[in-house]
Amino acid sequence: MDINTLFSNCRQGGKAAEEALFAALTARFRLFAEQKVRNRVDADEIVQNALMVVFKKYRAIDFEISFAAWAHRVLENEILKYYRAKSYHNNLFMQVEPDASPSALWHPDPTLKRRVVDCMKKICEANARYARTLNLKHQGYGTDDICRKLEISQENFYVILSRARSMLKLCLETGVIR
Amino acid sequence: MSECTDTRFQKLLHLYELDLLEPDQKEQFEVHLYACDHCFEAVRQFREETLLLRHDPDLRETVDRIARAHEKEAAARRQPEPARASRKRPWPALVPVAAAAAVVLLILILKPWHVEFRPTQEARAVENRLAVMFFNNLADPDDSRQWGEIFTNLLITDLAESQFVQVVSSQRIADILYTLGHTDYRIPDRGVATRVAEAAGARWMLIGAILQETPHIELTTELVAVETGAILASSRITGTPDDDLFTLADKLTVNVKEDLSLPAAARNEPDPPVADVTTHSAEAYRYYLEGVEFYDKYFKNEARESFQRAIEHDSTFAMAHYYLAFLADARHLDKAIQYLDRTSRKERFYIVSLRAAHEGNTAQAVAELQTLLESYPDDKMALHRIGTLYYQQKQFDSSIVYLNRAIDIDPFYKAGYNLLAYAYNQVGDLENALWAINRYIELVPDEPNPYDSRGDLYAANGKPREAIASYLAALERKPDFLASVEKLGNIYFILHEYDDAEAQFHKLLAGGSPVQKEFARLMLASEYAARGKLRASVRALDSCITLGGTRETAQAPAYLIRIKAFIELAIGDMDAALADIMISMNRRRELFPDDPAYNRMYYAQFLAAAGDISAADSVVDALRLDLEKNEQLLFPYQYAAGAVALEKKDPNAAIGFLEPLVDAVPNDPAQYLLGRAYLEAGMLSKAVDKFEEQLVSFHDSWRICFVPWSIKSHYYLGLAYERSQWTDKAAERFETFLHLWRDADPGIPEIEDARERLTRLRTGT
Repeated sequence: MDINTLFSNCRQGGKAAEEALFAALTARFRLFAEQKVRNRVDADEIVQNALMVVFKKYRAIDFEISFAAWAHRVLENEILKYYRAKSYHNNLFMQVEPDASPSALWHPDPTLKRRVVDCMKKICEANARYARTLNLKHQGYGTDDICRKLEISQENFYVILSRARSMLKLCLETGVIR
Repeated sequence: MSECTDTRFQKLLHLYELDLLEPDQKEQFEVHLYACDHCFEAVRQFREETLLLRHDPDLRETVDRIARAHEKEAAARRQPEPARASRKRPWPALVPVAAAAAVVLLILILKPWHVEFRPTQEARAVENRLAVMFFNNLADPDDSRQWGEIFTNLLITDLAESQFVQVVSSQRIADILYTLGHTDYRIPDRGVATRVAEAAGARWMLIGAILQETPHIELTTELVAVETGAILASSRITGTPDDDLFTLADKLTVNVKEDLSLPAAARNEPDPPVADVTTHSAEAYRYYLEGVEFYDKYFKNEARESFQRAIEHDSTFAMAHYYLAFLADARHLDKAIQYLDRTSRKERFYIVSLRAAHEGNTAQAVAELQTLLESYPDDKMALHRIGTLYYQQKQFDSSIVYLNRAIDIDPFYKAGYNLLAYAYNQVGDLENALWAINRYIELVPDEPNPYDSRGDLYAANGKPREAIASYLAALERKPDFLASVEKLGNIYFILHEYDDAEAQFHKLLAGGSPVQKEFARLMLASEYAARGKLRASVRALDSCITLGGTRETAQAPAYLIRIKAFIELAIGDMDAALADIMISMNRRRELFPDDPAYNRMYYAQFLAAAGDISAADSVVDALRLDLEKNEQLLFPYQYAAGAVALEKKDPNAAIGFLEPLVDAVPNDPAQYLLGRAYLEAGMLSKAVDKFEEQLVSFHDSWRICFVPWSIKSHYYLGLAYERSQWTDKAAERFETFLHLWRDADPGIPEIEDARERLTRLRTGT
C-alpha cells in the first residue's frame, strides 16, 4: 500500500493505521538516508529526527503537495542540516563525510562483494556499453554526456541499464549472466 | 508483488541506483518510491549491491579496467587498415557478398566474442590522466631561479584541483626519468617525454617552455595524445607585466582544461587561484619544493632546513608546517590546521588526518585518507600514509596490504618499498623484507637511505656485521647521513667496540640536530656505564643535564635524569636514585600534563628497591586509578606492579603483570624484569629465552639507554644456564660479563658473585 493511502487511513484514526504509516515511512527514510550518509549511526539519527518532525506535524498540516512529497522534503532537510552542522572543512568540502567513525561506516559483506565483483566482471566483459557507462560515470559524466559519447539514444540507454541490472540479479542468484 | 504504479519510473530504476539521475528526476523518483511498493522493494532488496556499485573502489577499478580494454579494442577496430603490398586475394572476386557475410557470421558465432586484454602497468593509459613535463626555461637555460621547476609544480597543483583529471605528480615523473637514466628532471626531447608519459600510464602529456622571463613572462605549450603523438592543442601565452608564475599557472590551467575533453561539469567546478592553495611567495615555494625533494630522499636535516626557510618567507604556508610537524616539532601541525584553507583539496586530507593521528585517533586518521582515496584512487602517498599509520599501531598485516597497493600503482615508489621492508620484517618475513629493500636499492643505488634501511633489517635480525657493512655503504654515498652515523655508533657500542662507537658519536656532536647531539652526549656518558664505571657515568650525565635542552629537546633533561637515576639504582645509591627519579617524574609531568602516568611506574619501582614497599604499593594503586580514569592503556601500571612484585620476592605475581607487555612493548626494560622474574620463579628455559632474545637484537634502543641492565643480562643469563646445568654456556656468559666490566667500579655485587660462580664452574666444585 502506498504511503499516501496509508496516510489517508491514518487520518481517519486508529493506532494500527498510524503504526503502518510510520513503519512504511521508516523503511523509506532509512533507504534514502543510508544512500546519502554513509555513516549508519548518523543515518539512523537523521531518520529518527525526520520521523519526529513528521510525527509532530503530519496531523495539523494541510498538504498542498502529497504527504509523501512533504515527508521526503522533511528527510532531505534533516540530511542538509546534518551536513551543515557536521562539516568542519569550508564549503568546498561539503561532500566530505565528516567525523565518520570507521566502525559505523558501511562495510560491505566480503562474500557479497566477491560475488558482485565476479558478476560485474562477467557482465562488463560481455556488455561493453554497460562497462563504458560505469567507467564514464566514475569519471563524472552525466547521462547526457554518456549517451553522446556512446552515440546512443536515452531510451536505448535505459534499456542497456535495465538489461544489465537483470543480468546482475540473475548472476547473483545463479552464477550465470544469461 | 504488484507491478509498478507508473512505468515511466520503472525504467529509471538502475539509473537511480547508479546515481545517474538529474536532481529533479531523482527527487521525483524517490517520491515515487513512497507510492510504489514494487519499485521500493526492488531498490531495497538491491541496496547492498547498489552501495557496492557506487562506492567500492575495487569494483570500480575492475569495471574501469574492463572498460578501457573495450575502448582500446574499439579504437583498434576503428584504425584504418595499413596499406598492404598487393597480393592475391584468397577467394575469387566472384564470391557473392552474401556468401562472404555468411562465413563471417559463422566465425562470429563459433569464435568466443570477447578478447581478453591484460595490459601491463606501463601499457595501460588511464582515461583522464595527464602528465605535465618539466617546463624548460629557454630564457635561462640554467634555470638559476628555478622558474621552470616552480611553474611546473604550480601547474600540476592547480590542475590536480580538478575532480575530472588525474595529474601525475612531479615526483613520479622524476622517478621515471631516473629509471630511464636521466638524473636531471629536464626532459631532453619529445621521445623521452613520451616514454615517461607511457610509463606513468598517462593519456595526455603537456610539454612546455618558458620563452621569456622579463619584462613579462612568455610561455609556449603543447598538449599531446600519448598513444598517437598527435598534438591536440598548442598555445603561446604572453603574460602582462603584472603576471607572475602563479597567475600564469591559473591561466594555463583554464586553457588546458578546455583543450581536454572533460565533462561539462568540469567548467563549473571551483578553481581557486593556485597561490591561494599553495603560497603567494615564489621563494617560499622554491624552498618547499626543495624540502620535499630532500624529504623524499630521507635527508631529514636538509629537508627541515628547507621547510623552515619556506615558512620564513611565508609563515602561512600550511604544507611546509605539515612537513615540519614530522621533521621538527609537532606543534607545527597547529599552524597547518590554522591555515588549512590555504591548501589544495587533496592536501587538506593529509593535514586533517595527521591531526587525528596526533590526537591518538588512528581510525579517524585512516578514514580521512580513505576518503581522499575515493577521489584520488591512485594517490600512493595516501596509501603509504595509511600503511604508516597501521605500522605505528603494530597492525603490520594491514600495513603490508596498503603498501603493496602503493607499489602496485607505482612500481618506482621508493618510500613504499622502504616501509614495506620494515613491515615484512616485523611479521618475520625476512625474505620479502630483503626483496623489498633490494628493490629500493635497485631503484636508487646512489641514495644512502636504502642501505641504511637494509642495515636496520640486518641489525634487527642479529646480523651486526652485515648491518655495519650496510650503514657504511650508506655513508659512502653521503658521509653526513647522520641516521646511519647514529645507528653505526649504536651497533659498535653494543658490540663493545667503543673506539669506533666514539668516532660516530663525535660526528653526531659535530653535525647532528639538537636531538642527535643530546643523544651523542648521552652515549658518550653511557660508555662509562658500559665499562662498569658507574660513578663516572653519573658525573658525565650530570654534565649533559646541566647543558640543558633547547626548545626542540625540552624533554631531554627529564630523559637524561631518568637514565642517571637508573645508574644510581645500579650503584645502590638509593637516596640519589629516588631524588632523581622524582625530578624526572615532575619534569615529565610539566611537559606532558595529559600523561596520567608521567613515569610514576619507575618511581614505584625505586621505592620498592629502597625497601619502602608500602609507599610503592600506594603509588601503584594510584597509578592504576589514574590510568583507568583517563581511559589509558594499563601498561605503566603493569610495569610498576611487576617491578614491585619482583622486589617483594613474588616472581609469579611479577610474571602475571609483565607477560602481557611482551607483545605490546618488545623493546622495553619490562622484558629484562620479566627475564629476572622467570629466573626467580625457576622457569629456567623461559628465562634463558628471554635474556637470549634481549641480547641478540642489535636494534633495541633500551639496551643502549639502560646500559647497566644490558650488561647485567649476561650475568643473569649465566645464572639461568647454571641452574639449567648448562655449565659451559654459563661459564661463557660469566666470562663475558666479567670481561665487559673488567674495569668496573669496585663493590658491584654481581661481579663478585659472577667471579665465584665462574671459579666453581671451572673447577667443578
